[in-house]
Amino acid sequence: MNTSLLIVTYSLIFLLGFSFLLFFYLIIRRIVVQHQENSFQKKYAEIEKDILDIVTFPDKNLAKKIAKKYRYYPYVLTRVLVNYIEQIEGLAREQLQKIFNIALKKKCLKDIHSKRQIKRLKATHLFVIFSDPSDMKHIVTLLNDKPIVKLVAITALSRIPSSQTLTYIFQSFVRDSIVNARVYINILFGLGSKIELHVRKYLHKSLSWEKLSLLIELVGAIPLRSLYQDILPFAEHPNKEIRIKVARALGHMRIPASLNILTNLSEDEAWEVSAQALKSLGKLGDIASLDVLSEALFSPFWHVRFNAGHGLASLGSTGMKQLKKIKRQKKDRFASDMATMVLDETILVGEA
Amino acid sequence: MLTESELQQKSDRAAASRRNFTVKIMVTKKEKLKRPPQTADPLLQLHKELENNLKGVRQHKTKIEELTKATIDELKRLQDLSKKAKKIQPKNKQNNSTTSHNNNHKFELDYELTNLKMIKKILSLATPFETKQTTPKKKTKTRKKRDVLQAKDRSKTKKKEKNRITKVLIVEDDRTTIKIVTHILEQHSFEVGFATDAEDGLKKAFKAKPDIILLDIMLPGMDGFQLLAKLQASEDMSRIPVVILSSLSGEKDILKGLEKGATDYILKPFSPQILLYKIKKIMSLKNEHLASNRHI
Repeated sequence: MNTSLLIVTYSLIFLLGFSFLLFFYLIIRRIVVQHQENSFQKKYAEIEKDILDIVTFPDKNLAKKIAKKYRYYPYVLTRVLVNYIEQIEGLAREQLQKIFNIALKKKCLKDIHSKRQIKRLKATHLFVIFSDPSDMKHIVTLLNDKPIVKLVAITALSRIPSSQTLTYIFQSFVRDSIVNARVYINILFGLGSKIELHVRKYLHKSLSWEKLSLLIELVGAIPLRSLYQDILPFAEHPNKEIRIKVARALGHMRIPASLNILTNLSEDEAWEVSAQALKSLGKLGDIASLDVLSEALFSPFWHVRFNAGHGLASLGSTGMKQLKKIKRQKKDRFASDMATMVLDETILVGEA
Repeated sequence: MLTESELQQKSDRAAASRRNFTVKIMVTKKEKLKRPPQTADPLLQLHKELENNLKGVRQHKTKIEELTKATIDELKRLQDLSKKAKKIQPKNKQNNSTTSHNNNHKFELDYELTNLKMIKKILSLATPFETKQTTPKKKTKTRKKRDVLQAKDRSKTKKKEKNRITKVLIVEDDRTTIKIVTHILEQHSFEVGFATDAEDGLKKAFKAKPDIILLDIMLPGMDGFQLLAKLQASEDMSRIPVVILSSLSGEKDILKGLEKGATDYILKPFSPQILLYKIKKIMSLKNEHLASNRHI
């Protein structure tokens, strides 16, 4: 037999064997996965049945029984608990919390210090759902973790809104890079007026302009009216972004006393600030701002004209009369066009 | 002892008599067949006669009723007259002549009144249908039995109404919520059906005609508000109480839902116990409302 023929034959046999093994492996893997899925579904249904019973008739002893019964199935139990706890409230929720504390808490605390990031992340996420004041000290240790774990830990802390947890969150906000700052603002927004004292404290601290502007935005978005006096000095801040945020916050707060400040801001050298101030003047709805808004309609900047026009429309019949007057004038074509556009829009909205 | 010839004769006679008997039977059968068919059953005739009699009785009754009305009116008129006469009498006491005339008149009136009373009595006796209604007789045994049975039936129907399984339709896309609500309601003997989108929900609502609907707002395709509006547009469906079960917690959303015709608005996450209590309360109020409507 020729050697080359032998090589070809052996290589073919090897290839055939390899492909057969690969095929075999795939089949076995599929069977295993299917089996795992089936057993998961089966266990899920079993746990779900007991969970439904406890949700229907909350019972302390039953919670203990369930926790002990399924503590060796943490993955399935966690899935069931997470799915159910998000939907219910009251006594039933307390029972599910109890099951978590008995069956899963130990494992979670262990996983928090795990070397694997995914484990830490999953455990922290569970603390977001099953947050308990006693877990705070464990969660705080995660504030020095990688950004993704840290932000989940911040969310978990926000579920226990005490003065101490808020201090931790704000400290982390100051320390963290500006990239994550928006996430902090979103978390803090959900806490509402509880953050008032902390925001006041940090408004007077030397923060970067980005973080400062975000805090001012937060004051307006909630809105924290008691911090009105605290944000007024920022109306003269050299950074235009901060001035824009102040103008926007004042518009959200709708405090009549802010008319003069907004009028001043509407004459700002930066057209962005001016446009925002005019929009806020419109929200304020004070007739005293009629002249300022009418004058702004002759601005060379489209956004300024646009906001001024809408501001006039929000003043009611007086503003509409003024818009009609500007529409008829022939000195400034752009102002007339803007007035026409706003009037048409208002009519359309009115008809709708 | 009989001779052979005598025995022969006897047997011949017996055979002849048997033949005659069969012939007679045959004849009677033929006669029966030949006889013309009877025009009417005697029972039917009796029934007809009874009906004719009843007609007469009814006519008589109406006449009597008319007469009683006329006599009662007459009686009233005479009573008024007698009252007037009594009033006039003390004023004319001084004039003897007039008093004697009035006395006579009064006597005449009294006589007429007694006569009329007698007529009324006779008429009341002559109208047995009315008297039966006005004077309840003592309950007989059969009547008592009938009353007891009727009372039992009534109590059974009341129990049935109480124990009637309440049908609940859940229109919700979240499986976990469906499971929670279904479980808690089924534990309290409700019949639960569900739909995972608004279109299916609408179909099932029209088909099953549930007693109460639990509705989510954020649904795939048509949203809960649209479904609610469609239910309210239908006359049958608008009577079904709808409880919104949604995570939309804004004031505007809650008001919108209630304005569109929802009976209640429950926010998610919800307490299953509170939900159950609210459903029970709404159902009891609905049943009370229905019962009061029936009485009216």
